[in-house]
Amino acid sequence: MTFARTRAVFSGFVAYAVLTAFAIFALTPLVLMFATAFKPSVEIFQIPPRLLPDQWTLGNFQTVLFESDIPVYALNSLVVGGGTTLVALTLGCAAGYGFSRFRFTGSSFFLLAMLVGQLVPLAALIVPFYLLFDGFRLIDTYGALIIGHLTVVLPLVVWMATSYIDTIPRELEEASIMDGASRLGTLWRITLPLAFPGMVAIGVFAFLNSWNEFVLASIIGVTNASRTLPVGLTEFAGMFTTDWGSTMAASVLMTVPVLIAFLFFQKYFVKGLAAGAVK
Amino acid sequence: MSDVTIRGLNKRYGQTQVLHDIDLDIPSGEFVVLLGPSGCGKSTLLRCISGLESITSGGLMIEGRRANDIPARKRGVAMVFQSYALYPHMTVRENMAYGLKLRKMEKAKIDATVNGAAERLQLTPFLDRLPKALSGGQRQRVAIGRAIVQDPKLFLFDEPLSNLDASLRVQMRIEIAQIHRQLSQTTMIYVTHDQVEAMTMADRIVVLEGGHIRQVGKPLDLYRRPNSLFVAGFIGSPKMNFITGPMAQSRGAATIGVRPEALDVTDPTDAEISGEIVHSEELGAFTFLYIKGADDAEPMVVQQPGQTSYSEGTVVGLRPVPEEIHRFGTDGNRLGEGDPEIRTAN
Repeated sequence: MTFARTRAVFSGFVAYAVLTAFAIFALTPLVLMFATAFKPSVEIFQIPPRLLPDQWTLGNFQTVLFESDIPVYALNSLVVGGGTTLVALTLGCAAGYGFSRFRFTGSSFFLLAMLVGQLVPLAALIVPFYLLFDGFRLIDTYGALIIGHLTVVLPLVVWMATSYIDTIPRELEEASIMDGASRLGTLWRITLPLAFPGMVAIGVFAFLNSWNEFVLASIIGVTNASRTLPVGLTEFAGMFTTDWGSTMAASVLMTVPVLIAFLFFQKYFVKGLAAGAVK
Repeated sequence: MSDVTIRGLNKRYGQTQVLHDIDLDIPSGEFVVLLGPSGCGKSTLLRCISGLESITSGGLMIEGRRANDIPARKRGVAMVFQSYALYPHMTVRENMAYGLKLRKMEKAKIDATVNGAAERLQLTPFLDRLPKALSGGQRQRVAIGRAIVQDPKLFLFDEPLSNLDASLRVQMRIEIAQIHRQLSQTTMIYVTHDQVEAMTMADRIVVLEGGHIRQVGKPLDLYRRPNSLFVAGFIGSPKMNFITGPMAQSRGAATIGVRPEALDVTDPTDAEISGEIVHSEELGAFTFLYIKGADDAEPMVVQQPGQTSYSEGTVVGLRPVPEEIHRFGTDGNRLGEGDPEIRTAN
């Protein structure tokens, strides 16, 4: 075996070893979550610990689905996440198109200024947000959560949309205009269909951010009217004990739909991010 | 069918002026090529005519109607882009039908028009393919087809062949020339920096430099009577040889120009110019000899028919054919006989 070949085999081995270690590191919590969700409570803190349950049970899921308010929180999360995504996509893509296609005074400044908001930690915004929403009588409403999540998500969405639309050649739009389309018609028939993979990526990004957001939701979503899943999960934690089985079952229920959606849209997501998005 | 009149057209981007007082008349059915080096403003002029760029000042008339403020989509102009600009999410058929659908043409008529154009451009087998499944030449044909089906008054081409390889470029050049013959009533304006394309396709060539029109004329008129050093050097390949100094002064000029085919190789003792052959290029039908004189000037290029027996290092003499000598003044403009067919612009 030549030196070059030995070196190639060795570097391949190292690469796979490192990647495998990272994969185990990333997947272990997920595996533990799934395993714990199917364990009866006596097995969860069993010594010595076992990865898989001796006796598989759906009891935790039964508790979560029929004896808790988790389904209500899931619906709330869905509405808030869906609303955030819809508004972020509509406003973000329109703004992204504007920033990408038109030169106007201060466009670079506005684009940068939007990111400044990202520099402020969400925790620092909680009190102002609370006062603001209270003033508008929006506490404990979907509207407050959607607006709150948009302040975090929208600037990044605008950046991602601008970057993505930048990758669509202007000549396609010009050709459409020469073919007789208006600018709006061109946006609808040419730019948006071509921006679809990017929009999917942006939509998934916006939805995941809203779906997982905890800090703001825990302050604004005070009752079942607007409490979301990440906040709802704390319901299983009492002052002295935590129902880990139910917490994990609820976590599985919270993760699985997102996981399925992500796998389904993965093709677009990767394509969208690879095309020059910011994250 | 449309005639185009441009009067005093200026285009500025902020402080940068890209086009300077352009005056041009293009009669109906003419194939005009805008030719010039990169950055000379030829594409900008085309885009001003198309409506994709606004005109800073001056007038643009299409069919006798002021077009400055008519939006691009309403000018009745079709354009073929350098990158083809085919809609990647639409099939060839959908690409070609796009503009017709926007005009709310009946479906049966759209089908007939698209099928007719596809047949003319030999695109029928590819009508249901996406652009990514086509070769460069086929894509260019689709772009042309998309423009043809519009039945435009004015056809604009923005360097349409520059992305194609050499052999395909020759083929498409012939095809575009054939299309022009078939659509003899359609005015065509074609932008290129390739003088071979310009010489072979144009009814008239407009030579641009630095946003100014330098000369307008028929291809061979520009070749035979360039009105400036710039046009003389830009038209023709290899480019014209320029000679300054006593030899030019003896002919009452600051610079004289001689085409490579208008230089005879003679004995060095019997010639005005002599030098050493530093390089030769044998192309079969011709041989180009590069001859370096005593000074530091660029080597002179001489075109000899067929193959020659001269080898590199040989010292030879050069004698220009007297009637093929072009004389230029200190301002770079042509001296001597005027020609009503050739207009010197501003």
